[in-house]
Amino acid sequence: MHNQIRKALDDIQAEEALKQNTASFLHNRIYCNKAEKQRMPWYGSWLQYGRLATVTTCLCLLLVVFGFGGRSVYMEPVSAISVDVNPSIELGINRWDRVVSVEGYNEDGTALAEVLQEQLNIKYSNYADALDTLINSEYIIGYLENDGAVSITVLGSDDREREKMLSCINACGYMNRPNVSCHAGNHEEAEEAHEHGMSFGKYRAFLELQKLDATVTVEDVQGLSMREIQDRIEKLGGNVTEDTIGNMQHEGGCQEQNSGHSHNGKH
Amino acid sequence: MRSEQEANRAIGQYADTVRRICMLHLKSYSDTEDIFQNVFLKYVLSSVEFTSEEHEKAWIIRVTINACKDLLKSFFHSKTVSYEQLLEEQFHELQVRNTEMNEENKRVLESVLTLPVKYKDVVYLYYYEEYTAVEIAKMLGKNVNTVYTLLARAKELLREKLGGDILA
Repeated sequence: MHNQIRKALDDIQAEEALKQNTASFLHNRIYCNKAEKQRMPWYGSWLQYGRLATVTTCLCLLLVVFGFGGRSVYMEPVSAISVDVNPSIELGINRWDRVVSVEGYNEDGTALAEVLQEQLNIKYSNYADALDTLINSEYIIGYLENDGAVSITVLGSDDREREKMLSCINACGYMNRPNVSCHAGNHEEAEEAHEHGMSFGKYRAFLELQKLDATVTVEDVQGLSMREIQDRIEKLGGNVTEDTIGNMQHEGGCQEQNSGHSHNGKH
Repeated sequence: MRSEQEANRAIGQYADTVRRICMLHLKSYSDTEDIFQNVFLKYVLSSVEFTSEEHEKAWIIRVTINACKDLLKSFFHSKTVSYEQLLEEQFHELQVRNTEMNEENKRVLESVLTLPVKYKDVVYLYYYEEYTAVEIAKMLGKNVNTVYTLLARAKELLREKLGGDILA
């Protein structure tokens, strides 16, 4: 039987076009900067020397910075990911893509944050690995199995970082799972959310609900799970299925928040 | 993040493996393209350090199987096709791409493709990739005895479909 099955499956081979398209996709998505570098004109080499000088200067500065306050630079979150189910937690991410803070924004969130740090050791791990651990943890799986809704909201330090994070989340395949949605938030909303003691992911859902019902207050939604908020949005005529629980609606794989402010995540 | 050279090397080395797993699970070529992009993007962005080529291949296989399952879950309610249509599409794809396949291979492949989903991965991993039941159990997150049971049932089903002679 080994031989029969092997022979039959041997006939299946990846088409050259498929390989080429995948390589092109990765090139455009990840390595395009290198392509730009290759297209650099004759004076490019001088620019490269300039860059080398810049990098050297930066390294010197880094040495100084690390000498005086390296730890604070490392521990400073520049991006964040908010994961909201019923537990609401935010992962603070430093400029080296490492999780440097895990904060819960409600009772369940605080408990989960403790588990994530003390048992699952996600602090200081790469954010993609941390998110993978979180989404596949029994806590989140438990909510998903009971028709809970998981909302992942990304807050990038800039456009490029945000796109990178969205691509990464997209690549992890979470968006293909039922009841998982992904969004991009902005810093202004994040500040407002924190003033109200909420994660920015949940606050984004609150703003969406408030658009449909102006009488809803932050206090009204603070005790609600994402599923309950989404049900209320749906009840009020909001298009939850298409607009909130978005699955691969555009190339980034996630929805971007267009709430009147610049959605590039900058102040 | 891995370099473009590493990415291209991985595509060259594992494209056939990913393609075969996609063939076992997916309904269309466009879904296969999506899986290829997702798997190799994840490979490029992953910080996993592979200790050997076998480790890397096992990672690719596991990620591909999970990606296929996730895609099927999301599309299941909105887009379903009959097995006949699925087979027709897949063989058409192979024919379009000038893949010549003799009748016997076609019959075996058809039998494998029409196995219930739960048997396909173990059949592929055991008979084609030649992993042991213990390795398959680890890879798929299943109990070793479950893998043995799945293999035995799959073999029985294939025997029914193909007859005893071909399985000798």
